[in-house]
Amino acid sequence: MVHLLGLTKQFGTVMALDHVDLKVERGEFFALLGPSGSGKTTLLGLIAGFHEADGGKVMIEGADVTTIPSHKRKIAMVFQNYALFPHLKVFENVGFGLKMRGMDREEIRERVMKALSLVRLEGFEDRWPKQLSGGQQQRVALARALVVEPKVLLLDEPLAALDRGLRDEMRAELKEIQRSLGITTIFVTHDQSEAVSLSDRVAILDRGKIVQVDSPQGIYGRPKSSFVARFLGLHNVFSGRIIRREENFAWIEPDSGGHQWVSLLLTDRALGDCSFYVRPERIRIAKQLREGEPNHLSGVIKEITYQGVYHEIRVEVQSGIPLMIYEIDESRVASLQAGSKLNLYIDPKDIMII
Amino acid sequence: MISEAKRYEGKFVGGRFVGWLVVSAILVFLTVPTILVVFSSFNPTSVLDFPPKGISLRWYLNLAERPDFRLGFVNTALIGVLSTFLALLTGIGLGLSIHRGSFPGRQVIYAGIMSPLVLPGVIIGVGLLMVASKTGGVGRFPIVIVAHALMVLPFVLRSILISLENIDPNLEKAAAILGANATKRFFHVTLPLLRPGIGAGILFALIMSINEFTVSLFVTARATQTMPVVLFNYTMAYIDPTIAAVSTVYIITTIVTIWLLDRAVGIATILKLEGQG
Repeated sequence: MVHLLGLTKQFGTVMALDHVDLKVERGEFFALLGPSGSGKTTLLGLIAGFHEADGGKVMIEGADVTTIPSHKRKIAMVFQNYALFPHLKVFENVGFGLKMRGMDREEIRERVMKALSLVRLEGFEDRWPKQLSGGQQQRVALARALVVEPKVLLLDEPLAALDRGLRDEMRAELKEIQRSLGITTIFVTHDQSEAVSLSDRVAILDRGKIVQVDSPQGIYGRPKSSFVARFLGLHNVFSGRIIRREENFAWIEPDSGGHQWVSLLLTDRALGDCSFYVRPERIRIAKQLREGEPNHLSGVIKEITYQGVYHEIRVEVQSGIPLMIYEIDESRVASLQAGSKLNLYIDPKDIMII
Repeated sequence: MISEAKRYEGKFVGGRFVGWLVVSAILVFLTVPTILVVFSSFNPTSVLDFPPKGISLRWYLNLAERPDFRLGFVNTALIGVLSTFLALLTGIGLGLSIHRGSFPGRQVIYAGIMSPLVLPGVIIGVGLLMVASKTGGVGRFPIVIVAHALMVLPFVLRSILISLENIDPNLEKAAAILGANATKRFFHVTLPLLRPGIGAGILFALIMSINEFTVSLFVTARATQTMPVVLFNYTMAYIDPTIAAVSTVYIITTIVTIWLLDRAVGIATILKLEGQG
């Protein structure tokens, strides 16, 4: 278990991390997601002990390690460029951590062989790192990290340097290995799809602060801020004002004008400025337009793009707002074409105020 | 495809010819003096002349018999090896602190170490002589070794720094997180990866030290004279093919040094100044 309390780090005048609190559970696969400069790599560096914190605490398995140097933290890391030792063969690379721990040669051999078979690299122990492909180097780096049985495994953009096909393969393998060993894993990425496909929970960082911690479904379904929505590349995020509340419903007036939207709002929220998000996969194509009723609207189709599995339908509704619809049902899309009119209905629970 | 390649080649034949001519001229210009010296060292007459009138080893015998030359040879070897070793230790230490540190005055220290490259040897020689006279070490081995170490340090430091810059900083971090403390990181990761820089440093340092003259002239005494100084004193008195014989020995020593280093580290690695990775 990794517990961060009020962790703060400054580089010169730049606040790289600003009082970050985070709790990663034992055995969890946890993603730190954010654009470059958001502080995610600094955060990983602080857990690894590469930087000294300016404030706050790093706890690993209940012990305060804030001032403990890297080599005593009993954790392991896979670097983005793998950082294999070029002067050592695969065997010595993987065995490095065990040798540093003063283990005897027999045991090192046994453990290294086991680790190499875990990453399916039996028979590679006498190769030099430069003789290996990117994917194989990655496996060696993973074996080198796992062989020391670390309390926490850190991964820095582990898949970024691989090409597409290999990345998907390694992604599956990484997940399987993590699950089977049940090792607490924290990884840094700027790639949303990598974060949501691998991890149990995701923390999104923006300018040194964690802005949302949630399950992958949670961050996509309930983005907490317009930053999160934009960073995830979500369509249909608009700004407006809450002008009226009635029980659990809120009436939003979009800034671009046009009709009001009704949203299901279960939390306390004052009237005034807000962003709202209309989930593209929940917009329903309606046969008839029920004029005057809330969230019933009509628009003109601008473009239909097939994305494999689903269609993206770009619609401009009366008020000039561009809406994106994801439609998975082929039969509903078949009769549609660019330029024709379309009636839509959106359930208030699918309009989220953020 | 083949005809295309030939046409492409053909266009450059003229340019290539001129290129070869220039390169050959330069090579001739560079090697002819050396070859002349080697040949004239076998001249039986006591005049530095070319072509030789016959073949004789008498000047080599003269070289071997004269105690000043023998002493100069031993001194040069001793001082070369010791000053290289000293410069290497200092260079690695300084290299590490300059490369990693951000302490104030770093640039000043670096400029100071590099200054023998731009300062006239006379100035350094006189300066060291004054230091030696204050400490009572005039003409003794320690001052000569330190002087040589100072002269070769810029070359050693440069090689070390270039090598350090070629080391991926993540490697040290990787070693640290795998449980290696600072000492183990140095001996298991940094030092092995510094090998090309150390090799290049040794090569430069040995050659520089063996050939160093100006500063040596000031800081050596009769007992500590290095070969160039002996040679200089000798030519003050005589001009005969002995100096040609010494030069030949020098050339052979240099070739052997480079060959040995090539065996040990690999010249290709040294000149490319990169690691095995």
